[in-house]
Amino acid sequence: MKRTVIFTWLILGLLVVWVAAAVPPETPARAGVRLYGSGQYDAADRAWRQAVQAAPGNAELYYNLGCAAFRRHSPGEAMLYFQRAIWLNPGHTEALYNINYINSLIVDRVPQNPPGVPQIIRDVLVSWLGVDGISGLMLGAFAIICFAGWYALRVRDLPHRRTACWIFAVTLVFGVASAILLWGVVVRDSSVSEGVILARQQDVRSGPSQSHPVLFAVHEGLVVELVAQTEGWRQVVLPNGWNGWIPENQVGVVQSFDLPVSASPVDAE
Amino acid sequence: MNLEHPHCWRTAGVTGVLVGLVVMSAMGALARGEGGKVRATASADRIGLENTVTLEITIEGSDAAGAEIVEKPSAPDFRLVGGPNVSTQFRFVNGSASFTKVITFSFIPLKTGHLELPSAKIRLNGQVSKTEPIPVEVVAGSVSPSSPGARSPFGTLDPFDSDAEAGTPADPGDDLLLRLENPDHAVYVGQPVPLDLVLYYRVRIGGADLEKEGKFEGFWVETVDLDPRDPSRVGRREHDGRAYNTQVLRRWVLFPLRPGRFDVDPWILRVLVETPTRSFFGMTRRQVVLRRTNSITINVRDFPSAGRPAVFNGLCGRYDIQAGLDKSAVATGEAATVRLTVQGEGNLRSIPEQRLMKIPGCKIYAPKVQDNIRLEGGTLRGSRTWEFVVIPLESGVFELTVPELAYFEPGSQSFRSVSPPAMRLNATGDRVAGTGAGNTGGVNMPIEMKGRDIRHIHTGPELERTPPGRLYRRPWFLAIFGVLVLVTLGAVAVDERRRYLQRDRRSWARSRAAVQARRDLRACSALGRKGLSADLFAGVYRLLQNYLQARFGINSLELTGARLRQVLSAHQVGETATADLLDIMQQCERYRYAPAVAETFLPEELLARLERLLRVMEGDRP
Repeated sequence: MKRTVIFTWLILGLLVVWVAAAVPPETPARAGVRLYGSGQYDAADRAWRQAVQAAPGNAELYYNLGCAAFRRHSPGEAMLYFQRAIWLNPGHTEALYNINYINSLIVDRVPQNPPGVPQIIRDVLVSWLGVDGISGLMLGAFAIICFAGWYALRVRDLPHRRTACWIFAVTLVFGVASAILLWGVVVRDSSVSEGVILARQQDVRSGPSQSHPVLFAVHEGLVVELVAQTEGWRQVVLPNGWNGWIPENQVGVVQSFDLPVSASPVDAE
Repeated sequence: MNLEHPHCWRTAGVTGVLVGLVVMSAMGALARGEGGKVRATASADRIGLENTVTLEITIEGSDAAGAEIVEKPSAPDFRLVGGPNVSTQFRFVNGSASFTKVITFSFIPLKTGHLELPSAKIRLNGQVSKTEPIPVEVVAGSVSPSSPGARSPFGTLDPFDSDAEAGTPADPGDDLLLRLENPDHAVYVGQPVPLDLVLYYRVRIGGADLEKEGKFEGFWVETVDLDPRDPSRVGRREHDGRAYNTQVLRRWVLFPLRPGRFDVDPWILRVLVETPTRSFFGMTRRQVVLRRTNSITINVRDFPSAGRPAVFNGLCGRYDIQAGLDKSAVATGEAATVRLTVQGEGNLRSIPEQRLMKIPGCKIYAPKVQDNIRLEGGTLRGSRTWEFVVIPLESGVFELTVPELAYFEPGSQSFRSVSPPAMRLNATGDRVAGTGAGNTGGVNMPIEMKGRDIRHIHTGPELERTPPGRLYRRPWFLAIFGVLVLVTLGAVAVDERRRYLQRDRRSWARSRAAVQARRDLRACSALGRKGLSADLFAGVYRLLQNYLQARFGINSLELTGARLRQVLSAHQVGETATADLLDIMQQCERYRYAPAVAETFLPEELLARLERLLRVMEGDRP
């Protein structure tokens, strides 16, 4: 009798362990979705922050972080995350939509120079193909160029040689175009650095210290170009060309995986 | 009786034994019984047009249980509204037993006068017998029963009921009435007529059920939902000088559809009447009676012809009309909404469809209609709203007007007309292409954004995916480029080499001859290190023979001095080299068969000469 009871408890224990092992634990990303759905945006933000530390290059997590920040009435932080999602995945249409929507809400209206035709073509192709798509296109074109060139040199009869030469020429054009495009992306990724103002209102000074005079003020959500950095200060350039210095912690860097320290922006100065 | 007392238990036991003995004796008496007889009676010989009368057919005798109805009674002056209701009873009185079966039918009279209740056919012991018709006088209204009615052969089961001998309880007569009541018997077409179905009673009512619903022909009927908890449904009223308890069972509002005199179809109610007895146990006797409503006639008058507006289309009541625009200025192609509301009391459901007057250059869509109508105070009240979407196709000021609404007001017995003031819609902008002005009958409605928000979060599996990073930053991406370049260049080089060699076979052969000669020279050197031998001379001779064939195409059969000089001269080989070649070949030809003769001959010298010769012939200086 005693042995039967022990055996039953053992079986039950194994069953519980098996069930517990079969049920997958909830990942932080999933937990964030659940918390966001129940309106707990702060908790969702924390969960997705945890998830993004494990997968820093995941554009979808930044997109969701942006949604949570927007629900927490932090448009600057939301703009930063949406911009970062675009940086990681230039074809992220929903992040682009949300950026446009936040642009209609933020305070600052800075006239921007219209982009040039090459920039428009680059942005359209990059958003359509993606950076990896362009890379793959270039690799494929190069492989075809190599094969067609070798075949054009090898083949003797004229029709085949002419076909091979056409293929070679066309793929050469494609390859060169994709290489130029990729070069543009690489240059942009490596040289251009953008930031988003996180403070509700931030004075921009003429130099990297509080003793320098205030030139103008910017507000939360404005996207600026980051051109220089000293200890605790960053030099920003507005789309209309105005530039100045602001404290480093009041601007979020788009081309980075760092997360803002504070989930909710703090009024500065 | 208190059954908890032991004495009562003993009394009950004795009573049970006695009852058992009585039943057994009765069964024996039945066995000796004779055939039955059939008798028909009426519950009253004088009734009102609003009353019911019961035909009771009683069959008595030992075979009464087997009696059955062959043909139901029917007559043109009465309508059968109930039955047959069958009951049987066994009685044992003074030692003799009898068996009785009672079949009842209920009728309502259809007219007044001296009428006859119809006869019924009964089959008993295989023979069909017919009851006699019973004369009944029917008068207008309601009357109390003139006779107490037939005595029931059954009485009551209560042995202590002192009323048991009274038989079936009498019809309550005027103590129970069903009436249709309306305040107005003369109305105009479309004027609301409130109508109540009221039960008047001075007896105890156990329940009621509708036996027959009347019809309201010539009327549009709106039924009022009565709240069962509404205290106003029950009350006390006087009728013919007598006070009654009353209960409103149904309430309607009738709207006459055409002029004329309309008799309202009677309603018939089955009522369970409870009569208290003087029973020791306080039992009640229950009786189901039928009641029919009084006959009422509603006179519906047509509208007067004097002063009738041309646009009048039979609307009766009291109405008001209001119209408004949601915006007074729009751009061309932009929609404005006209809200037209008719409110008042009367049959709002019969209000004709409203419309806007057509305007050139303006597109008016079919309206959306909304009702807010309720039954209140014996009529319909509320409003009906039409919403028109108006889109100006060209710039200008458009005056939107609504046709006049005419109605007849029964209170003042006069016609009235209402119309809202014209609305002005100012449109600016360029002309918009359209299908033309007027009601198109389409239901195209321009949609408008009511709000904006960010897009929703992503919930797919991509959230948990770790992206591998940019493709162009991975090492193997660049490695593939290098491999492709190397493979392509290698393939091109191999092809070019092969093509080059195939382009000049002689050159290729020459090249091959030099390679082979050097290879053979190494073999001869190995032989020379062992000393002079026939093999060494044979090897050198074969080397030269193969070389000349491969390099200059000289076959071994034509290997003569003259031929050699001719060919080597053609290939710009010097005289000295040619002479040296011939000398070596002759020595090898000579000494390979007699190597012992060549004692002073050193193999190193031979091989050195051979090497110098090959260099000269390949174009190098010795």
